[in-house]
Amino acid sequence: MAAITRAMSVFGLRSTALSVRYVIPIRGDGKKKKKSKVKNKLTQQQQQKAKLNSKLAKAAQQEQEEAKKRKKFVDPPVDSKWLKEDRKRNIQNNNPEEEERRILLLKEWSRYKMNQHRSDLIKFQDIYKSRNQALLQLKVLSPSLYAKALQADPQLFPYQCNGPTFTPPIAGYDQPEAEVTTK
Amino acid sequence: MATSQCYSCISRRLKPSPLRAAFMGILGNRLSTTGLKSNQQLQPKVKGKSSLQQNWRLVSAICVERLPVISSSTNSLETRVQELFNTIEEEKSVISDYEIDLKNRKAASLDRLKALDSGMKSKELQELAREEIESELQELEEEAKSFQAASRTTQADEEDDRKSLDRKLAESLYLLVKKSRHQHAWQMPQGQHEGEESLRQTAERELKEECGEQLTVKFLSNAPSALYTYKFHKDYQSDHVGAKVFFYKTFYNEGQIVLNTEELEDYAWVTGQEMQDYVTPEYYRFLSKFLYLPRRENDTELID
Repeated sequence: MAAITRAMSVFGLRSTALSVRYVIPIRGDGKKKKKSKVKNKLTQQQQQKAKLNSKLAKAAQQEQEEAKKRKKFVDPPVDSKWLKEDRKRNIQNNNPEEEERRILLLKEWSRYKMNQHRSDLIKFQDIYKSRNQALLQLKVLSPSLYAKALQADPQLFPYQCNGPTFTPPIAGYDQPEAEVTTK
Repeated sequence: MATSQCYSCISRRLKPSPLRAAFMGILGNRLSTTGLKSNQQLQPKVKGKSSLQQNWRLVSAICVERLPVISSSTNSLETRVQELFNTIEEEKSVISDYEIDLKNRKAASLDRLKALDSGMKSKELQELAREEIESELQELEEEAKSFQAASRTTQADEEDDRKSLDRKLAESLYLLVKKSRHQHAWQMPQGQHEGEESLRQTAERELKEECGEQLTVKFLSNAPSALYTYKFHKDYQSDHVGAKVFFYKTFYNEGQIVLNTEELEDYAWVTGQEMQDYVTPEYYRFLSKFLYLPRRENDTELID
């Protein structure tokens, strides 16, 4: 402990048995001459730090209080009736062949999906590349047409599109009114 | 691993963004043909000396796609996995209220029958109780079956009517028109750019002129999706060296085609697989860059 701070030495802090000399307390008169700006600066820094720390502490406290006031978004718990014993299905699947079949099928599925995803990404890149090349050539061929092509289309959104269903819509289907049944 | 090797060699030449880095990692060997290099933004890659300074005819083409109406059929792996997922879900589920209700009703009907006729044997009573419940369930099933959904294959499928939009509902259909010439007759509707219009307006105009006013489509952007370049025969190169055809991708909205018989002979709505029988191999290869088309089986020039 070569670097014993001045503050520590004022209080007569003992570092080791060897450093007996430092134990002697310095009372009062020691540093009158050197009441320098350096000391003031240090305390200023310390003061600023202390201010910041207190501000941070206040902000943290406020945050905690606000968090308590806010509603807690917790997932609604599962209704206890589903957890009762009489609701459990006792299906014993101890067949090792079946287990292995399932595991192999899931692995095959994972590979299949990975390849699908990979080819999708490649396709996206191809589409992007082909559009960019078209725009580059257009820029050289005709700057005015290029400028028109870059404009955003205000009529594009809102865009609504229905996805595919399992069976096609029945032509001229008259939907019957829903019957309201009350038990 | 090959993927990391390739990524490192690219990173020395370019400085890919993190997103492109993610792509590179996933795409592995397919790196040299993907994406644009950063220095290519200002100077396009041109073949031959200043080919872009020659006189090209600017043409807009329009690709009209009727999206699938029904979900695609599953292949064997997908059906097997679907069954597996269903069984796993059933195994992991808990007994529902309906099942308990059914059990209680069976017990109740059994009790009722016992009270009525105490002379019968227990087995017969159980049989009767079961039959009662089953007849109830049958009634419910028949009520559900009284709704007939439309069939996934239509009449147009059976007749193979290529002009109908009701065909091949599980796949996308693309519009092709036939010009009166021998080679490269089937193509997507296209026309030359005129006046002060934008390329997209050219595409809209050409579609109306060739296929009638009833057909409505949805454009996805003002920018073209792809560019097809071809040179004219030397005898015809007086005005232009060739044509630059800018393709616009659109989705079919509604309406029937009324073909302009002055310019065109025929039209057809075809799937990607069928398109191979109509268009030239180069055209098909070009279209597969920005459309989801199945790969040609006998194509030796296809670079993956």
